[in-house]
Amino acid sequence: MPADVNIWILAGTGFTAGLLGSMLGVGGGFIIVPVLTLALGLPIQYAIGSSLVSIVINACTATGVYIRAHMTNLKLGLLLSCALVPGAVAGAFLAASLSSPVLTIIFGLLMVYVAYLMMPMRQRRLTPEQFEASKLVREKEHATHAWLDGWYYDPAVNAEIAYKVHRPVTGMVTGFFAGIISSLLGIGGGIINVPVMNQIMKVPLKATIATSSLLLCFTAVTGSLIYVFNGYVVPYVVAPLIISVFIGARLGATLAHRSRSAMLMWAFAFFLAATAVLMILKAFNILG
Amino acid sequence: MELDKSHEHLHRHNRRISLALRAGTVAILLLIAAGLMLFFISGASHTAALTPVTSLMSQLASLDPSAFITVGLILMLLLPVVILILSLAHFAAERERQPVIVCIVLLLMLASSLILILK
Repeated sequence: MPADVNIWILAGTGFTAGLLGSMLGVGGGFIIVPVLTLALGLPIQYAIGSSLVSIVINACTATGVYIRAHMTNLKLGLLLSCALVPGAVAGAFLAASLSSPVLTIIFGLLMVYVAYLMMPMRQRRLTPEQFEASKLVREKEHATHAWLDGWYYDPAVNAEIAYKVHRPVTGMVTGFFAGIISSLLGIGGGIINVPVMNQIMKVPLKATIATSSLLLCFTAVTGSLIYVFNGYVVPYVVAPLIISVFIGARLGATLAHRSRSAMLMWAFAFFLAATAVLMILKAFNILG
Repeated sequence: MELDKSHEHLHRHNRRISLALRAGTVAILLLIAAGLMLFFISGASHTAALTPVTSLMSQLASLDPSAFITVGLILMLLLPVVILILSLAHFAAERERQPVIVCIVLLLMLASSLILILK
């Protein structure tokens, strides 16, 4: 652990991670971990531990704002957390057994797939017959978990949006893997939760982002505990990170529920694709 | 009418969680900011580790920067538990069986995770 770290780099990193994290419903670890390891030379375990701790404050701040605006689906968030928490524990234990390049490549490939999934134009159009048939199947399946359905007020279109939640079991299975990835790489798990909730579970993007923030609270806390108990969290590093992440997250949450969903989706997809390319290049030592 | 009442209860619950998160966040930030300021004032080592829980009170009394940050982190790790307990109380009052079960399961999972980590 280097004796001196630049506090301004830490503060700038935290602010950017907080801003993007709460706007996109992801934790911000995809910014914090690379900067702490590449720019500040911190060992990867310290970077992951600091990232997870910062994600907790980011997620709690954003959750407070979203829940006050009634955008969070609390029941769905709590249900999915039941799968995320054991995943986060498993991920932290798995972290010790995989090498860094392997993890980096897995991370990059996963992000390419998620970016593809998030692109709005990717949605397949069905014929009217196919649409009616799939609607019937969905209605029948939906009856067993109607208690998860939600609604929220969208100030961007000045209307109350009601929605049905589909495929909660799929959401829980992928949630378990999101928990693993979160603790393994020091990210929030939002890169999996957001597309799964939005594209597969059919939750509107704004409600997805708000609910994803709630999920991050539980996942990051579980992961953080492991890193804290192993001594990978340094007070002088996490203090400026937490404060700057808080400021960025407040701003991001305010901006997110005033902006348009399609624009957010494109921004998210573009961001993921760019980060994925950088990660894969780094894994093959092309970036030096 | 019944739906309006249920919506109103949910709104009140959401406001309660939001308030708890905000109050908790302010307390955490004040503690962490105080710790950071003390780092600058005291010139303590930047590589200092978190303070063990057993010596937390004495270290706080001697204005150790790490002790302030440690208390802030402990509070921060408790925030999601507060969301869970408030939600459990709300759903129990509303007699919503499935969310109550979910809250209890999640609470047990967090507790067992902590036990596993401590082992």
